[in-house]
This record gives sequence, structure tokens and C-alpha cells, in this order.
Amino acid sequence: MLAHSIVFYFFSLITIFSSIMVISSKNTIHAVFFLILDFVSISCLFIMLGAEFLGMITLIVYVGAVAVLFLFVVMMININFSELKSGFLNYLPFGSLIGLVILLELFIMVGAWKYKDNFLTTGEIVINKEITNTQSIGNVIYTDYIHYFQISGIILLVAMIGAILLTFQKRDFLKRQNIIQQVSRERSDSVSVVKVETYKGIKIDD
Amino acid sequence: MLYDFLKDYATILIFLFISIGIGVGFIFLNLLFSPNNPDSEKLSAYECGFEAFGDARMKFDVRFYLVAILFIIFDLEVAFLFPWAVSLGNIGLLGFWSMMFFLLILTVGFVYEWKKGALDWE
Repeated sequence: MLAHSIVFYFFSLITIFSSIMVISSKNTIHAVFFLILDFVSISCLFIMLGAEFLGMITLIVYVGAVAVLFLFVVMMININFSELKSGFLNYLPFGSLIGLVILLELFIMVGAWKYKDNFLTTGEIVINKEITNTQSIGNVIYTDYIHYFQISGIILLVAMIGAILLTFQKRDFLKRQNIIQQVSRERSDSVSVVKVETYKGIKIDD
Repeated sequence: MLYDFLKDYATILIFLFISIGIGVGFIFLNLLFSPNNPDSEKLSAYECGFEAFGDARMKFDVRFYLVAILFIIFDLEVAFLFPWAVSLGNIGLLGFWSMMFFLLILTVGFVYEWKKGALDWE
């Protein structure tokens, strides 16, 4: 039990430290790397809380994919640091307002969890400890929650088509080799024998 | 609130600490033993080189981003397959066909991107 607590607080400290570094480091690439460290330690925390499946999915999706996407975004927008700093004062009121709202929400959540026992109803959810939580998710998501599952499939389809429409441009000016066209070319397509009359000349392709 | 399965992760935890130790240890040993004579001339441009014109960072082609997004979408699709594979025995025909329909929807998107040429690198 003690070892469990020590490791848990170790990962919590890493989480808090790296999330502070995300918002405070000057170099945006470093910020993204701290974000990756944050995701990794959060997935460790999920595993320690017993949510094994969630932890592994966090690793696969957030660390493997979303963090890479963030890196691409950071590299694509070509950040100018002096421009970033000049806009700081303009964003300050709005940003601090959002921060304040989130802080209040956190206070409400923690206060309710601490001092009002019937505030959250998650205590009523029965968790079967006999089976792994991958299996307990799988038992309900494809049958009881089939609508949400299919809607998520459609959302993924929309995301796929949207990404292609927004970022894909066909480059027609590139000359590409078309092997079928090349192989199936006949002699008659390009060469012809023409009888030229004397003193008349001939007109070709105009 | 100690779960039994966490004992299986103990080996991974030990591995994690050992690898962190080795990584940090090598950096530390380098700092300790490597010769360190900083000189501003060592960082300056050498003989035929010249001073940099601008930032070394340049804009990425947007096609990398497209590939990353398509990767994420299929990643999520695979993430849905794991619990399905684990509990396929309990969810019956409805669960099986609901996953097949899900895969069909995403295959439509896959065919679309294939035909559109978004997967070609040119």
C-alpha cells in the first residue's frame, strides 16, 4: 500500500511539473515534448487507479497520435516569438477569464466530492471486479450503446473526408509516369505514312 | 484500494526506473568526464561556411499533416477493435454486426481517400 502511494505521488508530481512546463517553456517544441511526458504520466496514473484500458488507450491515441499532430502543427505554423509576445496583453483578459472559470469549476467539483456525498451519482455504478475493464467496456458498448458507437464511426468518417477536403490539393502540374498508357501505346497512334504529292507539300496537325 | 493486477506492472516500473537511471547516468557521466573548453570561435562559421540568413525552422508541407490525421483516425478505429475482440463471446450477433457496420463506414472513407489520391506521395 505504501509503495502504491509513493509511486502514485511520484507520477502525480511528474504530471503537475510537466503541465506547468507546457505553459511556461519558451520553446514550443519543448512544450510539446512536456505535453507528451504529461500524457505518459497521466496514463500511468490511470493504470494505478485501475483503469487499465483507459491508460493504454491514452498511450496509443494521445502519445502515439495526437502528440505527433501537435508537433506537426507547431512546425507548420512557423512561430515568430516576438509576434507572440506582442499579442500577450490582448489575450490576457479573455485568457484569465477562462482560467478563472475553470478554477471555479474545479473548486465546485472538489468541494462537492468532499462535503456532499450524494452530489455525484457515480457511486451507484456497479463495477464487476471479476472481469477486466476492457471486457466490461466491450460488453456494453457494441450492444447497449450501439447508437453512440455508430455515431462515433460516422464522426470518424466526417473527420477523414474533412481532412482530405481541407488539406489535399492535387498537383496537376507534375508529370507522372502512367505505365498502362505507356505500354498500351500503338504504333498507329503516333506514326503514319503519308503520300506527299510533288509540289503540293503537306499539312501536319494544325 | 490496491488492485492485484498492479503487481504485473511492477516489472515495467522497475524497467522504467532502470532505463531512466541509465539515461540520466550517461548524461551525468558525460558532464563529469568530457573535456569542456568553451570558446566562441568553436561556434562560429568555419572557413567556407557563412553566417545563417534566417531561421533554420521552415514550414512543413501540409501533406505530412494529412497523413498524421488519417493515421489518427485509423488508430481510433483500431482502439475500438480491442474491447470488441476481448468480449466477442458475450455480445452475440448484434455486437458482431454492429462492428462490421462500423468497419464498413470507415471502409467507405478509406476507399474515398484511396480514389482521391490522398495516400499517393507523388
